[in-house]
Amino acid sequence: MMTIRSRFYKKGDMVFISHLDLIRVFERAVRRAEIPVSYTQGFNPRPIMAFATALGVGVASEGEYIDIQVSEKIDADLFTEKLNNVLPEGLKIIKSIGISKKEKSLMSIISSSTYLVKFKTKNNFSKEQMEESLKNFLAFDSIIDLKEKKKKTHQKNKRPEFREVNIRPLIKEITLFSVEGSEVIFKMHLAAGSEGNLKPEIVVGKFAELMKIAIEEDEIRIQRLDLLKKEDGKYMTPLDKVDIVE
Amino acid sequence: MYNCEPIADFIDIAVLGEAEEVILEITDLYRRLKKSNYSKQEFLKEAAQIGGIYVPSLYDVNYNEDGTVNSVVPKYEGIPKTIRKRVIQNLNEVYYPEEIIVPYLNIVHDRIMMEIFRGCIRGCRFCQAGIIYRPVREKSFDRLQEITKNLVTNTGYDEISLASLSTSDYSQLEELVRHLIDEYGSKKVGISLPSLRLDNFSLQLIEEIQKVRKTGLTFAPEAGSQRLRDVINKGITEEDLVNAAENAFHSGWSSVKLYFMIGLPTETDEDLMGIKDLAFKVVDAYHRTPREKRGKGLNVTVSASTFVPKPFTPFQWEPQATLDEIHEKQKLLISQLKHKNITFNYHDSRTSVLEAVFAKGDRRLSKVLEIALEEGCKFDGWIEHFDFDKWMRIFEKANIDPDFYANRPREYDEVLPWDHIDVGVSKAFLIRENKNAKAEKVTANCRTSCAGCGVNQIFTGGIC
Repeated sequence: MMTIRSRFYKKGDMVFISHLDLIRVFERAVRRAEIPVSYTQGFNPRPIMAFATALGVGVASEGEYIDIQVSEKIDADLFTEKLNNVLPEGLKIIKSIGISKKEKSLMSIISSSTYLVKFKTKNNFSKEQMEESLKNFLAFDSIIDLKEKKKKTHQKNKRPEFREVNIRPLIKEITLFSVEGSEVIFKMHLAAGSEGNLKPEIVVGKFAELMKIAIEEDEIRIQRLDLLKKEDGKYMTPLDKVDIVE
Repeated sequence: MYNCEPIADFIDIAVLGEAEEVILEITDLYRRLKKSNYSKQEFLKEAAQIGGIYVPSLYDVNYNEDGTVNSVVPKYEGIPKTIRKRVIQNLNEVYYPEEIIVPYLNIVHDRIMMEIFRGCIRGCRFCQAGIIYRPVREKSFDRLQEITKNLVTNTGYDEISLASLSTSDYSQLEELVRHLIDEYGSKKVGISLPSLRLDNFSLQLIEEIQKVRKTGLTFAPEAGSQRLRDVINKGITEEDLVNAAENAFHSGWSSVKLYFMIGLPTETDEDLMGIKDLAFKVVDAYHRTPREKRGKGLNVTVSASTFVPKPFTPFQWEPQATLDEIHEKQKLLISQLKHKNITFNYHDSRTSVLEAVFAKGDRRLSKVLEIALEEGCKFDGWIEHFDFDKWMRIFEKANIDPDFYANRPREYDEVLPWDHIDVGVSKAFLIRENKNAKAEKVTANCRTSCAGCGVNQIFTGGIC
């Protein structure tokens, strides 16, 4: 038995596949690739696999991660090759490594994520203007977002309740990547995973609201660059600094 | 579809029977005619020469004064008087899709569908499929192994459904299931066996299958009393059902589904009470099963659908029960099946009325469909979009009486709107079977003895 940790991308048409569908794609793929995976016990056995986080529908990603438990030892490069032979276009394993049993789960180690976020403003801005706005935005100590409380099924008709959340601590860094006419691209580093999660589109919305910049709300495009863990104060990918098992 | 008369005004050609071969013959013809300067009429006339191709517009339908069909005659010389369905002689050689589209979304039938044979040896008298897909033709065990291997490798699905009209009648079912378990069990590819019969319900087989992936269990006694099961030629007994249920409980199941039809020919309240008796006997079988063996939380689901008489069956002459009669029957069952472990499901019988009208309809019904479309009827299969009263108004507007089609008993010598369609089974056989039904006489399955339905005279040279 051994666990293989892989980094993969999800882009092109695949951005429209939901997380649940993605799980099934991988389940079928390991079977097509004839990879000897371990299965859960019970009436409805499933391949033992775990993703780092769920990626929203419509969001592309260069850096997604998955742990797959195999029942027999398999060379990590061969594993990559076999899966890539059967995965649909838009999904591709970039790198795999066999990891030690002592490694913590992907879900528990992920603490942040980097994104490129593209949006359109209604008026044109210069690079300097945009940089100034971004600086002012980040200067806030607190940025309050109203988050709708989840309702239980029997409360479906209840009026929505909101909770105030300060999202500023969840923003690690935002830099201006480019401005071309009305098209702006931010690079963001935001909290992700179990210790707080912030969606880039919320940040863009707040930025537009507080900086009084009108944007085309339907035209926000998001690409995740990577998922990161933090060890000894440094951010790194889940494939860095792990006990590798050959 | 074999009775396409109700949509005759809308379709140019209909393929009767199995299309794998004939579809290529049609495209060949089309390709050939397209090269020359062809007219549509020319194409249709030529297509009508191909076996199994029915071109409704090439026939005149004459009616009697009472509204019944007098005759269906070809408009031109050289157009066949009757159209015989097509069958594939050798299922081992016919194309079968082994590279299929695997959707990302969860769909219905999200699994490998492996057809193991066509046709059915049983001859249940209500069942259209059991007649029109005759003769019985099996795929060989070797071919099935090959198909499964390709499908599993190409799709990665975790379930294989062995599809046929009566899966347990496949002559090498046990070998096949063992092979599938040996070969794919370690990959956790499960097997589902829909339409298993109770009489040769093999508990061991089912238990083996359960080790890979657990599935639900459905039995279809179809009718509540032995008398009525004899009428419909469903050759299973109460003992079969109770034994099967008890075996299932012993293997750890705690929920079973029972399928019935109501409104069957000759049905009385006594037969309906038989449904209740069966359901309660299944409940008893559960309680007889030792606690440590059976699963927790008994649930017996009883489903009763409304019988729709279908063309090409021994019941094609029978009327459908009226809406009021069906409601009475449903009410009786609702009151009788009150038990904490029994769930009773039934359908809106008004959709079954439309089903009966169009199943046994003639081409005058095309008019009804045309008006219905104009009046905005669509997605009627979804109950929230189904407006029965609107349909009734449309029938009135088209000057068509739905009862004439659904609730009228036919005489054996009446010309039926689909009599020019030849499915290989003779009308004489269907009449004989209709009489047997009335006499509560069971007809043996085709393997036990040939009932002389006629299909082997046409398609298999005397043997099935």
